[in-house]
Amino acid sequence: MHVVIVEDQALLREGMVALLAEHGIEVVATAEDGPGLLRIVDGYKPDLAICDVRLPPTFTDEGIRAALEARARHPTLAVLVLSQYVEPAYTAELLAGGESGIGYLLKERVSEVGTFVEAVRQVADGGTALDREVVSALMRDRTGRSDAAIMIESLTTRERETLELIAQGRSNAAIARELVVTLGAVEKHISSIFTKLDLPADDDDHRRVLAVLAFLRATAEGGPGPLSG
Amino acid sequence: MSVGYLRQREPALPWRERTMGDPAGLLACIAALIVLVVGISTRSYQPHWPMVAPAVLLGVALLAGPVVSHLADRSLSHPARVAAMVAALAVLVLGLWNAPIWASRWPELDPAVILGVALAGRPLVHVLRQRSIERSAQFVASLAALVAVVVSGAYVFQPRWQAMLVAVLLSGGMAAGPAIWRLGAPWSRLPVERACAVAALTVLVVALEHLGYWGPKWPELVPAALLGAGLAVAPVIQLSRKWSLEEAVWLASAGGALVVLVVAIGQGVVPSWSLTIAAGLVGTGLFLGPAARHLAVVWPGGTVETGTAVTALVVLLCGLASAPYWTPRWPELVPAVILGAGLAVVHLHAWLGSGPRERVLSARVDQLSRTRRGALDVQASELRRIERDLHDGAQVRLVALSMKLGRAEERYRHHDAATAALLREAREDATAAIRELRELARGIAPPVLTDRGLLAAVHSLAHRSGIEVRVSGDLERRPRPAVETAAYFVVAESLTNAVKHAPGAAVEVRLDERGGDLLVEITDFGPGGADPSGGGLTGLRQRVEALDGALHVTSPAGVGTQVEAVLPCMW
Repeated sequence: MHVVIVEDQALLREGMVALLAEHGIEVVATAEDGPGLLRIVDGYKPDLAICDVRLPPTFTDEGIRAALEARARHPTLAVLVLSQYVEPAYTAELLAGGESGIGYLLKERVSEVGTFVEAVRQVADGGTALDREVVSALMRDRTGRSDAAIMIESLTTRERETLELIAQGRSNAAIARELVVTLGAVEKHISSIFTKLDLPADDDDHRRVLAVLAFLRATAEGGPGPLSG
Repeated sequence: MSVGYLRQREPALPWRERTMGDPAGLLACIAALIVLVVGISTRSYQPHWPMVAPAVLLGVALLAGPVVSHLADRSLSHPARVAAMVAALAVLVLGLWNAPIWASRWPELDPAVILGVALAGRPLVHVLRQRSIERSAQFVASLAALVAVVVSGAYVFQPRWQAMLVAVLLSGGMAAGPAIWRLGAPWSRLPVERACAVAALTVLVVALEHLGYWGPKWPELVPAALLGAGLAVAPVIQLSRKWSLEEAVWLASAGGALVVLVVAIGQGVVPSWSLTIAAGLVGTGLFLGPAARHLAVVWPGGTVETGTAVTALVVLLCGLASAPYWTPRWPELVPAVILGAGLAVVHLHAWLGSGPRERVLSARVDQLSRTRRGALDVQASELRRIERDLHDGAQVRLVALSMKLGRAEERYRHHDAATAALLREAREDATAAIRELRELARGIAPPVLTDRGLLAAVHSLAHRSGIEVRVSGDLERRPRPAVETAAYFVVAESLTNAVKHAPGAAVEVRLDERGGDLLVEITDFGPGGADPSGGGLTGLRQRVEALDGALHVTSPAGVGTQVEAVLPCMW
């Protein structure tokens, strides 16, 4: 797996390179700003870009813009955005830029090393990994207004919890650990979720992404659409 | 130093101070009473006295209007409002009762009637529909204009239809003006303004084409034309130049007055020149009033007000000097005189009252306003800088620390469980510190506000609120940071209140530019009955008033709660 990192803070950049190296993930290049990301993406054709949101020169949202631009140029590039804040607007923009290979995590999740590395692999493989804070913000009680919302509402509490964890990019084993249930029980929940969301039998990874998207569409209703620029 | 710093809106006064301290209101009421008594008791004017009615209606409605609209937010059954409505209704009934006298001349009353109905009727509609006063005004004016057009069509009063158009233009401009600004966003502002401008121009051209008909009488249309042109053209000027509404109205009406004067002199309408003067008096008083006060701050020393007051006096003297001409026709001047005199006295009062002490005070107020604005701007930028420093400094260090702790925990996990547990606790502490720091930074200056502006930040708030919030808005420019932050916290606090007191209710947030102001409106359809003097709302009011803005809370029980903040921006 070829990974590039865009982070203007050397302390974090070097820390992440070391952390990923310890888990056998090679960082092929690093950059400090948006144009740097586009340069190394064009040059190294990596599988995954890990990207900070606030970058020079204005320290606002260059990271998001650069990541979207990189995705537009290389649609197969997976992008994992790290931020000190979680904003629904950015989530919407990122998801509008593609259906899979998208992650959006709070920076401090990096310290939960096992989970973080799992999320990195998940996103690089075309999955979705959203921070539990984004997910819980979206998950808060909203009255159903569409088919997708009604389908989500038909889920049991356990199934919702499972879906939340899938949206965070967890594997079945990790979900079983988190919910303190057996792997078999998790598989049962997941197959029930697929049935309730009316997802066709396909390979499981694809269905997982579709379930997450259905969930996001249902819960993000009434919020902002993708912002331009 | 920018001139914009000096332009301050008048401070919001309690209604009692507004009415009692306003000599124009007092004088106009007295004048209206005198005219009414004289008109009724003067035998020779008996067939003419109904002409007085429109004047009184107009005067009462115009002057009571601001008071009434102000009171509408406070108590729906205030005696002043009821009195204004009763007066308006009484005058209407009297006018209808005297219909035979007007049978042959009624179109001449149209401008006054439409205007009067619109202004007097809006409190009524407001009460009936619990809607905003501007929307009600627009509704009533449109209805009145429609009725007038239909009625005049039925009478086949063809030679006079121009008068009708002028009346419609007049009332449309007056009543639709504020409404258009307010409704701008949902109706997509530009087309409405353009339609208004095109309509106004069409009417003006048509009126000019029919000069032949109006020949000896056309000056009688001058007041209406002047008013209507000023009000209808103002949005266009403001649209193209981004001026304040006051400046635009002033410019438009000044231009209109000039054209009228030149045409009047060119046509040699000698016996009618007094009418032109009366029109000028109305126009000057009405339009220069706000503009003069506005400009007086820009040009300290009150020179504009002085000039206006002198002009008004000269016009009054001219009117008196030409009294013989008007003797048999004087009632026709009554509306103009009442209005003009009332407003001219305001300027006179301001002129006489602006001694050296006032000028010193005025300069001091300017200075304080300027420095306060500067202090608030510095504060807003400082807060954003602190947030950025936290982000780039302490937060980065803590994230790096927690990352290292996480790596150490991984290494120890398999051979030293106790150390691994300790490291895990240390990492969790660091993560908790990061979280607390993040919440602190968000409370100081939300990054999405800095990065993406007000609309995106409000969308983010709506998302976070956990309730159904519809956000609409159309902001072409970003207000300065102090205003942006205040607007953000108005929305944040109002949404928190809505979640707390109106759970499950639909909430609408609207952001809009209105003239030089930023309008923020949060409406929930919950149980209402909020206490405007409650802690949270008082804090918001202080925040908004520190920026010379105004915060209105309307919360009738069983209907819902509307929080409206108007923040002057000057962009």
